[in-house]
Amino acid sequence: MDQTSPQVTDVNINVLLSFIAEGLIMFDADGRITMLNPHASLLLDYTAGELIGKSLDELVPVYFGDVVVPEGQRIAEQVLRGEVFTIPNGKTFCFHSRGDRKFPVFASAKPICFFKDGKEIAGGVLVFRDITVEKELEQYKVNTANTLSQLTPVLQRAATGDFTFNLELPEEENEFTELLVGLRLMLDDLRELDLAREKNEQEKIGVLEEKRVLTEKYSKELEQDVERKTRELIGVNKHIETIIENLTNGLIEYDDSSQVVRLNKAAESMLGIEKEQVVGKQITKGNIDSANLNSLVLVTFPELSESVRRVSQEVSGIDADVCELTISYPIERDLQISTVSLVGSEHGKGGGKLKVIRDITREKLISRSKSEFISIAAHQLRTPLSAIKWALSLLQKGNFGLLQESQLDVVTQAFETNEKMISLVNDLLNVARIEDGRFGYDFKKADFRDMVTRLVSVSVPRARGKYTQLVFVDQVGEVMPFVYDQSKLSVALQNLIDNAIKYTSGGGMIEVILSRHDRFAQVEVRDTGMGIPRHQIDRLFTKFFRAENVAQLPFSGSGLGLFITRNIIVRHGGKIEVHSEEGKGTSFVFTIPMDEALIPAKEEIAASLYM
Amino acid sequence: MEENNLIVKKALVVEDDPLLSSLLARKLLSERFQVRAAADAPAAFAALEREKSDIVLLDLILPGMDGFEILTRLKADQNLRSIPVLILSNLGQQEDVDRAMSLGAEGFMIKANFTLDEIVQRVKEILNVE
Repeated sequence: MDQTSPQVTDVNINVLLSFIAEGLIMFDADGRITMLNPHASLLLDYTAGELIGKSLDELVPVYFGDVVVPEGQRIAEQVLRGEVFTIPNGKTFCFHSRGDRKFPVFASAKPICFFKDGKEIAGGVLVFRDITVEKELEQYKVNTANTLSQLTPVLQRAATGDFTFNLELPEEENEFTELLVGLRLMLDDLRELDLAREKNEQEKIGVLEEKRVLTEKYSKELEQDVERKTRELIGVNKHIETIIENLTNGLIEYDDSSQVVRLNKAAESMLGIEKEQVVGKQITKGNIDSANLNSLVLVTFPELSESVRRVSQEVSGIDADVCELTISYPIERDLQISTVSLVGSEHGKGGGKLKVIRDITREKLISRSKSEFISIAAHQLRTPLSAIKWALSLLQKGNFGLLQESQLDVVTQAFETNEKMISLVNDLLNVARIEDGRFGYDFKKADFRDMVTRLVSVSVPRARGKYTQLVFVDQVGEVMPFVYDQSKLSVALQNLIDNAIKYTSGGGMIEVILSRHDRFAQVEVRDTGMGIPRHQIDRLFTKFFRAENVAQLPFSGSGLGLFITRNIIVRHGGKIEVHSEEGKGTSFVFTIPMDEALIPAKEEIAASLYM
Repeated sequence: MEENNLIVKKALVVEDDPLLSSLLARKLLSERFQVRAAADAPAAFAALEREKSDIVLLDLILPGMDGFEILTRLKADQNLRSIPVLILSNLGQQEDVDRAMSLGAEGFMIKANFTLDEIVQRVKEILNVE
């Protein structure tokens, strides 16, 4: 039995070992592998034949973690020194298989004695188990715990609304990656939301802040504006005061009881008074006897002046009462006084008065010189013209003996030329007087129809000389005499008739039609002459205007006739209109009132004469 | 009226321009007037002193005393104030006319605007002769 028992034992042990789920390796005193079970060869990826006889420590590299176990501490070396090999706590021991698989193992080795071929052999035995799965499980647990522990603070902070951080993703993808990515996305969304909300809030705050800043800015600007305006107003006030004080025109302001509120320097010097003397003083008509107040009283109450003359009612659009008068204190002056009522003045309830005084002494002087010049020029120009006129007329009439026909022709032509010269001088004088406001109208009751017929009949010979028919068409019959200036209106109508004759060629027809419309007499001078270019009609009544279609004609014309005519008619309170078609004829129609009340007062016409 | 035609009317022309004066005189003579001429105020008054005229044709602008003053003097003189005065002048502003008329002139004619025929016509009207 002794013989067979080890055999049986060996076989039994081998069979037995093959069923063990652990790897088992026995090695001899040299550390060489003497026996191993199939599981061991499987785990180490060697065949049993390849392992038997080989040094365990050299063939199978072992590690603690990633660190190679150094020489002297390897399994066989330890065991053969009589020590038991165990894995220290907390360390992972790994084998490296031939197939380059490194795997964690649970391993234990200790020295043993066993018999081989009847001999006691010292050696060791190594039992090891692949703990890859356990290690993985353990790793999983740790990883999970780590991951969760890493997540916990994140989730806690997120729960309080803090999204300023983010989750770290593990470098390698694992089972948590998806979850972490999901969480990250969620956190991103939350952060985005939070940022948007914050931004919104910031914006809201920003808008509010902006509003506040703007409001502040505006109110500051407003304040500055008010300050500036106030300064300006004060400045303007001072400015106005300065202007008023230094006006060349005198200025006096009264309250509603004729008390002097203020007067400027010019007023002081014009009227020979001083501010201290009159400001605050009520001016009465009784003061006229006090020599040094005489001029102020006259200015205050112009009706007391003997020389007062009302001028226009309206000056530069302001409703002012304007008059002219002469004062003698402190020196003789001609003054023009414009009186304006002050509405809602600070002085007195009813509003006071403002008087602007202009010294027109010089203007009057110039006007008088101009008038004198006109007189003298008229005299100087007309004297030789009248000498020629008279001499030629005596020659014509045969006072110096009868003339031959050719001589008479020349004398007649000379006479006509001289007549034109005289009428030009007359026109120039009339224009000068019209512009001077000294045309000198003399309104008297006279027979208008008689005047018209007379003018027509004296013009008939001249019309006939041009083979033109001139007729008077009476549409009224008797007209009661009414008030007008006969000599001026004669000039006006004569101009129209002369023009008609001048600009109507042979075979033409001129009608002078007298009619009556309501309170107006109307005269129409209608011809079949050359007409006036449509675009020039507007300028027809302006001084020195001659239509382009007549300018090149041999007839002379001063361009003054219609200007004079229009002024005369307007002065009468009448109107003149013209209708014309070039090549067909012209019709001038004027009306004058037959009611004296419709004739404008002299002062009102003055301005309209300057057209 | 008829006897007026038989009596020769005496006219005094006061005019400083010799040509105008002689033309007017010639015309009046041709119309059977008895004509004297004076070139200034002293000559005019001297002529009237010697013999009264039926009409004075008076210019206004004259050397020395002007026509307005002559007119004023004539109208102030008891003996002469009844003589009608026709102003013949080349002044012609309304105020000149008004002034002359208010001083007592019978008429005012602007020389340049009237022929001698028209002037004589007017003289005859004033004197009521044909």
